[in-house]
Amino acid sequence: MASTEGGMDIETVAANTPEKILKEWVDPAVGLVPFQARKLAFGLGIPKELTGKAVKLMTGVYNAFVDTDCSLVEINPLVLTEDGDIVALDAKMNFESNGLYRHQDIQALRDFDEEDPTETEASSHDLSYIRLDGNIGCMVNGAGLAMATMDMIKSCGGSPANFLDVGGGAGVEQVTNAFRLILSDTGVKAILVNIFGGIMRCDIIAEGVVTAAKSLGLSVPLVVRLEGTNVEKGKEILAASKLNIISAADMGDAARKVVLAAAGRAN
Amino acid sequence: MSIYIDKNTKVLVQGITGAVGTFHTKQMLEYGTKIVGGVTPGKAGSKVEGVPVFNTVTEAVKATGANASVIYVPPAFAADAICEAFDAGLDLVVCITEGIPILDMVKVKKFMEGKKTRLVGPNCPGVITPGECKIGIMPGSIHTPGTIGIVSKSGTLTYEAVHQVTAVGLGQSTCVGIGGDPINGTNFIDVLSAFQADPKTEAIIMIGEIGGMAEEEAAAYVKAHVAKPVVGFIAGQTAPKGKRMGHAGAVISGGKGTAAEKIEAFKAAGISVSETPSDMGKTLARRLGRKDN
Repeated sequence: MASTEGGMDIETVAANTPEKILKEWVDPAVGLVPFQARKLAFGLGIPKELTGKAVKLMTGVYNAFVDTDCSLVEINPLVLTEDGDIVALDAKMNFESNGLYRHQDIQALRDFDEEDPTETEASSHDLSYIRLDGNIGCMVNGAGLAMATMDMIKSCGGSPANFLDVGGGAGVEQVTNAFRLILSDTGVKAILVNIFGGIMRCDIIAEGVVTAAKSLGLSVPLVVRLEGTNVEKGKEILAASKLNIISAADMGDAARKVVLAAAGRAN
Repeated sequence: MSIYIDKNTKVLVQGITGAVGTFHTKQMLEYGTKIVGGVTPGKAGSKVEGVPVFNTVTEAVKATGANASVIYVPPAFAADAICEAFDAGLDLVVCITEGIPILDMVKVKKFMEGKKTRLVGPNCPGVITPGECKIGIMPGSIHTPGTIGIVSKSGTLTYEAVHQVTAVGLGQSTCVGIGGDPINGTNFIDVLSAFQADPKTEAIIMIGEIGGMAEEEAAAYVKAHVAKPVVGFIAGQTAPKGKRMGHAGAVISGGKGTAAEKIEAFKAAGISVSETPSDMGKTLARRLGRKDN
């Protein structure tokens, strides 16, 4: 894509004057073909004596994008100098995380000071965690169910403190790590564990919850909703633990109970 | 009837000798899926759970007559595995693998053009026709044969929907997890059109999430082409902008892809939207004129 307009508010340009955004579709089998770069160059009004330089720059940008597994390469601004050159004055590159394993050199550039330390800690344990501004900590298996659990809490009048997907194969260690992360947020007033056990069995999860809660000395109310494979065994383990765990029948019940618990009210 | 798979589907497991592949081969066999072979390069002649292993998909198809495969190979090799399955001319390829580089999928998508094979996934729980055939990682035990088709981007949220459908006294015709990656083989519209054409499916549950435009496009398709009742849910109403919510595609970028826009599109298409994730079953029952229970 190329445009003479915008930069800051390219979304507005796209909405109001879409014809000012030039687009070329790249066939991944052949890459950006020079004629496509020429079309963009002429479309932008780059002087014809600089077309060759523009084509070289654009194909270079495309090759850099592919070679380093980018999700975005953006040059803004691109300037024409008085002595007849084309120069990228600034650029931004986003790297696609699934492709990063192929690029040790790019991984080495990671600046941990620029990241939320809790999210960095989470990624080192293969947990997907995003801190939010509420006071109800959540631990859920699966990204979709984790988002849905946050939505459920909100619809019951509460506010989630985080998104946390413990993944499909979590055991005691993963659950303990997840609890530690949730509790590192001192604003957390109650925790909701929502697990739909599939391959990950409910009894294993229950053991993980009990072990983690005991070893960490859990100080806030804990609401647990378990469903799926071996759910009865899981519930027995929770009940036998003598921990102060509030059991919930379904997602809605769990959200209502955790919202009350976070507000300091009895269930 | 059902869509994509039934009791006659003959399945290969690509990556059968790996820990994940072996585990799920056992689970699928126990469910009754006809697993006829496995593929791991260099391991031909061995057996896993009594299933013969082949070096290539083509050899396995020739020897077993398989018409589908499921992929449990690590992300770095998954694109290769998908292409190999397409080259062998299978009807269906289900890719479970999470974390495939997106530019690999761009090339795969190009390779797929003009070939008859259907890809479901990647990064998905798979496809199940309850009581007949399970291809993937979903827990078989929660499913009940029935008339509700379910299509979803999310794994555990699909299990949640299955559970709720069963709780209101209904069962599932086929459940398809299309996966949460931005580039996938089968999209909502493909599955909606198959459910519309399937005589056994009476109603459809469609579960989407923030990010991309797939839900909006699906809603437009429902309005124009789907006569059966559709119930919808969108996850991520409380998701912050610009953060990737676990799934590679689940991100609100440039103010686009919000749950509110998608819910609006669903409603405008006559889809009954479940306001909370715990009401999917009840919303379905109401839409079908059944008593809540």
